[in-house]
Amino acid sequence: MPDRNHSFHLPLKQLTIGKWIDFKIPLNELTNRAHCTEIGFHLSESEYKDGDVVDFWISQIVLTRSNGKTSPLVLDDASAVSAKKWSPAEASCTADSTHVKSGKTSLRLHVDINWKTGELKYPIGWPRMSRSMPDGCTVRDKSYTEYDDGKPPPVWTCPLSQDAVVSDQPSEFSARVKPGKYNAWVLCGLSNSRGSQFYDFDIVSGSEKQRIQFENSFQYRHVFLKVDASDGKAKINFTPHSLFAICGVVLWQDIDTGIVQKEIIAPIRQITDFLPPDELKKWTLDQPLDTHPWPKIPTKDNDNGYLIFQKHWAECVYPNTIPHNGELDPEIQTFASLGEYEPLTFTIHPFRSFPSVTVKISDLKCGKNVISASTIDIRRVRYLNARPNYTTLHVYRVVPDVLMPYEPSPLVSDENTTFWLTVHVPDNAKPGFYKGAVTVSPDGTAPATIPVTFRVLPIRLKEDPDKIFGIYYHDPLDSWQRAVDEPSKAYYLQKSEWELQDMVAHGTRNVTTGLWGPPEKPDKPGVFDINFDLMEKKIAAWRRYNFKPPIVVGINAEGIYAKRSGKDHPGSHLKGISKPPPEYGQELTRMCRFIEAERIKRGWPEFLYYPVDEPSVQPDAIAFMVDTLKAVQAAGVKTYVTADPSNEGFAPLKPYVDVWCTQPYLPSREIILADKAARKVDYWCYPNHVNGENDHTPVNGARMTYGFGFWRSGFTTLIPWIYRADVGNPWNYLDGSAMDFFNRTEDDGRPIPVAMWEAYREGYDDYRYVYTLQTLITKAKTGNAKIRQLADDAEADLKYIWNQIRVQPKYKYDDLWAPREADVYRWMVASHILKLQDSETHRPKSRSFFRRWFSR
Amino acid sequence: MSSNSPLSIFATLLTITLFVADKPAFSQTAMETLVIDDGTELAAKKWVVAEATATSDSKHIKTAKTALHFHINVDWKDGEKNYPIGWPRLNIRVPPDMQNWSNFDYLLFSIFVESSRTNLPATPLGFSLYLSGKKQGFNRPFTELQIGKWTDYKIPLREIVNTNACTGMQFHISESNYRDGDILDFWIDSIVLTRYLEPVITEAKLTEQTITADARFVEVEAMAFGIEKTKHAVAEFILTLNDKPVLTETLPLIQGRNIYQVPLSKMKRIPGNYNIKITHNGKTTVAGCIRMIGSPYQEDKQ
Repeated sequence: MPDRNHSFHLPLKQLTIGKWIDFKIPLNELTNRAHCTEIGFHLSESEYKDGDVVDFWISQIVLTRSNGKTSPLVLDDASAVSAKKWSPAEASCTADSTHVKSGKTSLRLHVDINWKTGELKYPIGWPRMSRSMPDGCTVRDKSYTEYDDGKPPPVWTCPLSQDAVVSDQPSEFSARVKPGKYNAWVLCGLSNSRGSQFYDFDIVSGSEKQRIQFENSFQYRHVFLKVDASDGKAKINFTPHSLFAICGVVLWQDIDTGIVQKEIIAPIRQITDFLPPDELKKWTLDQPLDTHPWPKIPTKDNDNGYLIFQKHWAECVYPNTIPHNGELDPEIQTFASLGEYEPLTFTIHPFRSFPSVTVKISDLKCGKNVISASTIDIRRVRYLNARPNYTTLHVYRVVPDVLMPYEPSPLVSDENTTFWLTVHVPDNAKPGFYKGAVTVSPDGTAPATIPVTFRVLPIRLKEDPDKIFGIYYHDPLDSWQRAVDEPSKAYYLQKSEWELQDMVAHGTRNVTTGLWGPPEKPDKPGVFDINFDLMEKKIAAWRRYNFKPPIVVGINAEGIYAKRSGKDHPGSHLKGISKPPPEYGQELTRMCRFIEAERIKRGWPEFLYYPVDEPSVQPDAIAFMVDTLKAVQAAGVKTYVTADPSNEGFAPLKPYVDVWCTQPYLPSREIILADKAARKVDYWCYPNHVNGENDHTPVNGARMTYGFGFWRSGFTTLIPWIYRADVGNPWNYLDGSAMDFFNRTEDDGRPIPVAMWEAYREGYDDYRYVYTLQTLITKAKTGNAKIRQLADDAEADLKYIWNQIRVQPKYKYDDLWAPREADVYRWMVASHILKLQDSETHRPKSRSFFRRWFSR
Repeated sequence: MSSNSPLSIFATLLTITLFVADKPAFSQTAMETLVIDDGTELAAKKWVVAEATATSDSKHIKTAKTALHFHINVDWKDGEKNYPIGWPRLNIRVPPDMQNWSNFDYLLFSIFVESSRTNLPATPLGFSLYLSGKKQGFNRPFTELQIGKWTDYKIPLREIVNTNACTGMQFHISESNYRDGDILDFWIDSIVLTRYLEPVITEAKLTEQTITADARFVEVEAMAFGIEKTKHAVAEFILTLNDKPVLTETLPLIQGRNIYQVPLSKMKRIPGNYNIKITHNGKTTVAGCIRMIGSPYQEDKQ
């Protein structure tokens, strides 16, 4: 019971040689049984004589409830499979049939008492066996009221959710009921911490089967199914592919549906999926409101009960957003280059509720050429309750955020629903104007058709080799390494592949990583216990997906500090740090040398060493940073520091920083270029203000940051925090010490994008349009007068766009281009690319002097 | 208002005045103002100061004989125990009977800066409003400030939620943005609330500088005041090309900052530079010039 370092011990004094003794331990009398992680049996050799031989046979170990209606939960069935799950020490554990009480075998704990062997310091020791409970049972998870750090708990709980049964064995829920047909609600999940575990199981009732999958913990799944209990027994089976986790089952008959929904399910779901009532009182809804009046609704829309409008994809459409007149009755028009992804969005506003709406897009056709509808991704924009900023408490708003995989879904009266379509232009598509339509069909009324014009441009966008689009990353391979069962390992491995593919499709070519290890042991100076093989696996993926170095590698400088100074690890931003002894820097240098030697030996790409995240400008922190960076550089490697050099407090670090990584676009382009010209230094940017550290609404600011804003800055790399990070329940932003960050995950491990992630890609594309034109201009400058004129025209428009950028340290909300204006500039760039490409196609072939001479 | 109220000084200052603004559209428009700080010694004493001083001073003034002088000696070793690199600040509490600012349009003041430094950091000074009932207030970094110059601030109150209960305001710096030993002096001149008493467009601008010829509309962002709730005024939006009007659209004008979409379907959309202005009540406000380029969706042309 690790929550509070409590455990329960019971001497089994009743045991008698040659007899079965039954033990029935009342769990209700145990305190702090919130999280039972392990059970074990042991003896003390001091109570025996040297040379004694002892054998214990242990029958099934089960949990029961006193109501008599539910089946016991088998923790250990004493089978050979179960026997292998025990970890014996100074003893052995097998399945054995010599003495059996139930089942075919018992667990046999065999001990040869030996006062001379065993642990070095304790030859008269404690032969024992134990097994952990991930595949056993959690009796009670932690209640949200038991977190006392002043922050919201990682998940909101209720008594039902705090009582999960977890097992890797098939199990049956059985209840004696009045014969008849029943409805069942099965609350699945865990409200306590379990990392690196994938839960995958079937819930079966008669012929109905539903598969449940989720990773880690702090989240719930709701399963509704029919149960035929005509024989007076309501049975539901749980079949684990890895583990199952069941909090509870509610059974009711149709006649009680209303009352069960209202008095049981709705109140519990409000807690598990939103906030407990007492907590809700502390939170205020701060919803953005439109003040302009509704446009005149066309008669046909009034008659149909809904209207369709279109805002630019980079505009946030809230549940209550009011359209403008010019956005009604839309036609979708957009353009893209070969291989490019392009978003299309539209919104339905229902004047009444509809049980379901279906959305279909036709093939997009251009003469005989087709972009198949099957290649167009359709998603629904899901609203989530978000805090205005990631650590803000007690204020929330309902924001458009996660792009859920499409499935027919209900429409709520007077609440906007936005659909997000992504066209991936095939690399070999024929350029031209493709036409098609989106059909929107709410149940029971006339469908609507939205015409689509999609222009495919004969352009292959180029990536600037001197720029990197990166992102901070929590690598699923870390969980893969920690996972204990094969389904979990397979899940994290697949998740890693899907995420990397998703990153590549969004332009990401670099992720952060870490080589974490404890400080060196006294007897092994210069040797560190670091898992290089895991890094090898990460580097292999890095190479498979053509990522670009250098790699930012976090290292355990703070661990060495704690060891050498005898103090706690410093707080965030080096709070509480003090000057370390010289041995700190010496060991840190040895650690960096150790890592660097392995990097060179394995032929890995260049590393940037990242010893501390976001130091403050407090004098002690700066002094510590100077020592730290000097020590890292003494190993002959480069340093990476997340700090803003335009803040004068960081000036002392300047000689020791190889790569500055700043949140805003500061310093200015001019200062950066001058500094880079003067010495070897680089500038990266982690624009968290348009990534995860907000309410996920600065979508337009994100596009500007990653695209034209990046072009206008002097920075070489963008590396925001973070591709995905879960803080507690990943589907509730109102729990946890901070909001969950950025992309989400489907139950099977596939990534689910948020709108800002799509903005990252659109910014990446904007930049590629600019770079492609720049390369064509450079080439055209060597052409004939007509081509040079085209290059001059293109250059003039690039300069025009450059001048239109209202340079800001942080492009977030204010003073940005209107969303569609960025499309206009992209088109301006594209049109010049087309002209220059066209001029190249029709460029006269150069002829030799002699051919020209003879052709006269 | 009670006589011992921190803002008793303003009791008689709620007046109707003629406010002459710098744009012709605003001239001779009836306005109402409420003075929060008039720069006097009496007013300066109302501020609660931490790690700084606040006095009334005549060295730099704009509208009155004295201004509120906020003086800071940046000291990284002094201040609060846990935060020696702290936040020198000025706070004023607004008495309950004066907290409702929801009927005012702007908060106005000007700031002059002197410093021992030669230049200011990216965020030289911050400003906050405390709004009752909210954990969050309104925060605005004053990045525009320059040493040796007056900077005028005109904060549109209609865009801030919960101004019906403004309980206080604060000016502050973050010492981490400065060097230890820096000296800073801010003169804050005449902090007032204002509201217009008749319809007026105070600002207008284009949301875009460039559009394509397939655009359905041009967007104009306009700030209009003096219009009662649930009512609207009427304004003409006029587009000209080469000084010739090519489109006139009449649209309803509503209170506050709003986006107006001017439909382009009635005009022939040819590439060029269009000027856009709004006329209302005989006054004209220029919104700006927009460049129209060819459409990507014209099949015969690029």
